[in-house]
Amino acid sequence: MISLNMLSLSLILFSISAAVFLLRRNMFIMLMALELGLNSAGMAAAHFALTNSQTEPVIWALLFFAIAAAEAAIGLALLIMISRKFSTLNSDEIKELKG
Amino acid sequence: MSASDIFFYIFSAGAVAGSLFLLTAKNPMKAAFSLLFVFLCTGLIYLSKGLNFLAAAQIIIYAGAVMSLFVVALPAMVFSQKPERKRFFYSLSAFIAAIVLFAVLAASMPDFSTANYPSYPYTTKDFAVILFSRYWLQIEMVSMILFAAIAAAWLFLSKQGGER
Repeated sequence: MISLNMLSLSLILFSISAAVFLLRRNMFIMLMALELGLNSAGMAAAHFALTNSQTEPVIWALLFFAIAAAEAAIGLALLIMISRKFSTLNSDEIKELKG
Repeated sequence: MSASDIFFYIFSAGAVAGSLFLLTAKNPMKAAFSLLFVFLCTGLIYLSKGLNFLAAAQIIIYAGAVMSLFVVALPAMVFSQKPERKRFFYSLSAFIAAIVLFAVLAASMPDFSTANYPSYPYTTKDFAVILFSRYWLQIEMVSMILFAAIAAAWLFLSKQGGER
């Protein structure tokens, strides 16, 4: 029987984040879906820390937090620059790669 | 069922509901606040399982720093007034892809049956000792990544960088 624990919850949240990233066209919400995916990865690390009674997976979860903060800083700066240039954040309307 | 399990199920339901709201939210600010709700629920789940240090870090870094960055950056963006185009077959295939991803990940994970965790005293001193002894190189690398991210964000948003 599959019981709900932190690992299964992290899988559910990761699948939802993948669905949001694939289904939504707003790049701001797509960036938030990436943050949700990193959050669920940290939750899986916390699960393995609890099941094995170890401290190291919690350290990895903390490193995930720092990577997520760096990703948010760069991602938001890129989104502000893109929205200034194209006047939209809809990924369907941004079609040129020329800088 | 203990009080910890009841809190875990309540906060899990909140986290799943908040993340599902991201799928349907029209307003980006409402989506940002629903993600903030998910992060708070995750922090409370850590707290209910005895991971106090991780819960504090989750609330300070994710719910505090990252989400305030999202909310502050939102007014600086220009959003198109046109609604998102509806594409049935693309949406259906993306939905099926997410379900297949869940099934593959679930099949590859061995210990789904663990519902009760063994109690282990996680103290902040343990984390500090490991962080600054065995994981010092990783911590330094992450600090360099954070510094590079700040420098890159400054470069992107400076006047010269934006016009380049």
